[in-house]
Amino acid sequence: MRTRRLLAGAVALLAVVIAGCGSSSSEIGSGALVMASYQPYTGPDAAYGPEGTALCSFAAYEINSGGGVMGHKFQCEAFDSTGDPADALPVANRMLANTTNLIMVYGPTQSAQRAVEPVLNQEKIVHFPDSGDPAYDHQTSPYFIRNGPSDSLAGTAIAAYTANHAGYKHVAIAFTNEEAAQTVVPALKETFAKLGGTFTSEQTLAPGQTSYRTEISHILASHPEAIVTEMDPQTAATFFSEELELNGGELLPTITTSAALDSNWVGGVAKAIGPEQFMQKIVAVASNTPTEGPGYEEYLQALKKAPNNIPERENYAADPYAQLGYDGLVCGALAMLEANSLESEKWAPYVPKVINGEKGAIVVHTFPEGKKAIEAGKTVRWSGAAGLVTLNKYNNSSTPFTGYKWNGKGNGVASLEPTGGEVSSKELEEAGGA
Amino acid sequence: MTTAWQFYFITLLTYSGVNIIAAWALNLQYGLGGILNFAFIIFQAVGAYAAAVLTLGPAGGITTFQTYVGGAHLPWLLALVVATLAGGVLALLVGLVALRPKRTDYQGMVLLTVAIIAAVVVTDEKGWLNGASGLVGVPKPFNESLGLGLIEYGWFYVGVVAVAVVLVFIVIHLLTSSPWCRQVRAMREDPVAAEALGLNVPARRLQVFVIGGAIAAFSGALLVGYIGSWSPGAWGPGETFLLFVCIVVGGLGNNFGAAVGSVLVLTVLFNGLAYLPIFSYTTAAEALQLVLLGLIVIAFLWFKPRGLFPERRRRFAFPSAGPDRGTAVAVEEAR
Amino acid sequence: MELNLALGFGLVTASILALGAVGFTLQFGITNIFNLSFGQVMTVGMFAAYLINVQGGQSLWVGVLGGALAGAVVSGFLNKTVFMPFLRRGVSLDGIIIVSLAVGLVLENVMLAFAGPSFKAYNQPRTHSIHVLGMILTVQQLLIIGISVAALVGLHLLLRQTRLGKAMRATAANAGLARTSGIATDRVTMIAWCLSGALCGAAGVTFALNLATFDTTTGSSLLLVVIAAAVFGGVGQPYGAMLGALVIGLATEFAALVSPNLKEVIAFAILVVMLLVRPDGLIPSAATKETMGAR
Repeated sequence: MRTRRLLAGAVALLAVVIAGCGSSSSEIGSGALVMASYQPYTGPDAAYGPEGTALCSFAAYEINSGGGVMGHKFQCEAFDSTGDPADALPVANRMLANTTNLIMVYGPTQSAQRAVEPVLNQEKIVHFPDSGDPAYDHQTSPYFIRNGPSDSLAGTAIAAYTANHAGYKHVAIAFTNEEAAQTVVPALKETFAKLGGTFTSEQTLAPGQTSYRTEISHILASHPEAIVTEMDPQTAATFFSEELELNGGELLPTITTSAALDSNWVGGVAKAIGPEQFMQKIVAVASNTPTEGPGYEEYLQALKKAPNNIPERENYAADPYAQLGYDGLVCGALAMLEANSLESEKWAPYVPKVINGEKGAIVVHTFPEGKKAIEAGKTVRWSGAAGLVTLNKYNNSSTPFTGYKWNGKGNGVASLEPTGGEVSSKELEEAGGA
Repeated sequence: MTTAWQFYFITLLTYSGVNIIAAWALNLQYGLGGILNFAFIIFQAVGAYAAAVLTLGPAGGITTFQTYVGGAHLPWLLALVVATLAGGVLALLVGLVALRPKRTDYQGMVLLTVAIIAAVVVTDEKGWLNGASGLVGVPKPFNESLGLGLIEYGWFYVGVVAVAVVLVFIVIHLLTSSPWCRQVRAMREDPVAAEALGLNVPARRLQVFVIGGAIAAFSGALLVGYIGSWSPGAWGPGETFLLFVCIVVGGLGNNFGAAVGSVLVLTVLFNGLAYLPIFSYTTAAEALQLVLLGLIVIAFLWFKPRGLFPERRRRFAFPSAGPDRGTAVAVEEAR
Repeated sequence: MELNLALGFGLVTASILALGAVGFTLQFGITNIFNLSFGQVMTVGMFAAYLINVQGGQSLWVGVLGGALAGAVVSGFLNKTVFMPFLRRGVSLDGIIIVSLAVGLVLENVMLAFAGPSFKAYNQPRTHSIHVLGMILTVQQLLIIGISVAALVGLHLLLRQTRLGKAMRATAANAGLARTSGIATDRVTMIAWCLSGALCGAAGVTFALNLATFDTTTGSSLLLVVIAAAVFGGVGQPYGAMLGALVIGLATEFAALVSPNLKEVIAFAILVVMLLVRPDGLIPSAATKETMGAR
């Protein structure tokens, strides 16, 4: 008996301790509005965390430079979603319960998403997931805004690019067995076969191995025209450096997904194989992310001027995840202005409107510009760091894709340029995506 | 209390209950039976997977994006029973191989290897349990018949877990106060002497292992009923070590200690550290929280080496010096 | 042809594993401590070499030495300030597993706080591949094999030909008896930890070199395979660990010919089958201890 009573006591004590730290969250009070970066800050995906904090700070700078929303300034807070769905859930709960004036969330990533998505929707928190999980292709929550592509769409696009634009019909595919990579594969295979392509070799790689040399020599022996791939940064670095070694210092033409545009991927792989082969041979097929134009210039300004000691911020200059995340958060703020409300129930439906633009909307590139237009009674369409984005009725991106290569302008290989092959929305539809 | 706070409490209480049950299972295997089960988490995982596929229904249909074997629409209670049995069966199979080495530390390393194999195979064989993406959309137990809102349902589930904790406590209590458990303790203290007294040590060891495995699977089934999704990320081999920290902190061999240890480490410390007001633009803040966790554990073992609630010495205990107690005693004696 | 290729690649993997597995087993054999912070000490070695090679502009091979030195220093330091005091205090060997886990957590996250989560890579000259007996190996890889062989032969000579080696073997077999025979077991233990730390650091650097990039979690991810190799050979048995590394290293590469995604599983399955035949590893410990020691 003693045991159970003491136990109950311990739990009750715990409840009191935690309740003591808390305050109400669902109603917005005075003071700054909080944008949360709900990303992994520890564990194998720890690199996503600083990226989330950085893009959030850029967005906060942009919004605050236009005077914020309804007299509120914006600020960022970080929440560690670890990389494990079971550990991610209590952190999300804490974020929702204990954050005063929580207004929107950047995240969750794929590993945490399935556990926390129901809670975020229940609490009516607008969130911008940076995962490509196809399970959400037909989701219906108004609080879910995915302005980056789903992996199923990415798979279709990469197949269409490879067959129609790059003109390769015999390729090898090499994907790691991780969740984020595997969700691309089914659509890729289906579309590529439909377009008349064949696979010379199919390799599913276990990440983090000492070597992939046997797998690579297998691929090389099958004489593909190109390799289509998605790998995490570390596996990619190992794989490509070993490919160089086994293929006489040259990579095969390599077509990869937007995962390769992540600053950590570029950094890791470029360090491992050197910039020349990287720039010559690797192409990333990603939803359109221009690195020019007024919206992008404004993003660069925010990136440079955002206060605080954000480390290595120049890495995010050409990083579609950072660009799309920044765009999403700024669109959220514009939606609040259009709805003239801080209640998410009211402003959430305006986010797709700001992103897609209603009839007669004016295209805006900066938050102050947008605020001015809305105050003048107009509706706006955001064309920001990642240019124009289109959402479908499921709040999923249906933006066209482009093949990108790196041109080495600026520092290292950081700067992107289009290869000229754009997979249009029509093409995606015909190939079975969107 | 706002709904967000209620969600938070519901999650913490549910997790605490699940962790307490898991800690008891591990305490039975290791604290009492002396088996270094470094594969513990795979038994929790098998329970979660079994409960998931048995309630999800056959693969296909609404959930075409996931593939798995053994889909069925069993009532939850039946699924819970089958999941528990699955844990026992897996423990039997693993135990027959992994408990063969004579040294217990050696068994531990074999078990660690088994845990890695399990994680790699499940991640890789997409057709079995949907690979790295794992299973999602696991129906909430009794949800349809109850028709409660999310919050009310949450509190209901806390109640279900509380009942489960009590049930497992009764089972554990009966086990640990039985003559059978005396034999188990004797086996842990000195297997050679126990064997000489006529105990079938390998059989006892396997029994402890199977019962612990079944209880672990039970805890996994409870957990997946709450989270609604389950994937290899949730049961990496490292998770086992956290449970070891719990029972060592609580006091090995003491059920009350195991319960307190799991709440203290996994609920209070893990969540509490996140409230520290540190913010940085890098991963430094989160890293420092984990450094602190490590230091607290080290300090704890220094000041309370036998845990918060040490196992009571029993009259029948063998003298503490075995045939060869390794360096620890050698060093100790030399002082 | 493919078999020869895989053999070559397997030898490289085996060389790296052997450094780690022998280091791990040496620590375990002498002190019975199941040191789960071993993986993070490997990462310390990687970062030490990174400082020397990238920040200091020295050659990578100086970096390998530096990594080994850093491994030795950290390992010796941990032995002196953490593990020995805990043993003296009478904490059980199982409790010390938890301590080592906590030490690993602290080490890894101190590195994360200082070095950040981004991937690091060494500056290494790109060299030509050399074709030997149907194998394709780079100069770096040949050097990795060379380093490993040299280190292990050195260890063999030390254990078999010197008084210190004899003292170590005696301590491993029975510390109490060794002490009563006049062996300064504390000193011997310290030296063993430093030696194993050096092997650990060297394993870390060569692993990172072979991987092309590394971060703060790389060492702990390698640890599991290292442990598997050690288990295969019989824990506490340096020669068994070498054999275990060879078997696991070759098996993973040959398995990749059949099923790349399951190469680790196949290697580990061999381990399980072997354990069914020989439950205590390839080379069981001379004194088969029934329990782990004092509780």
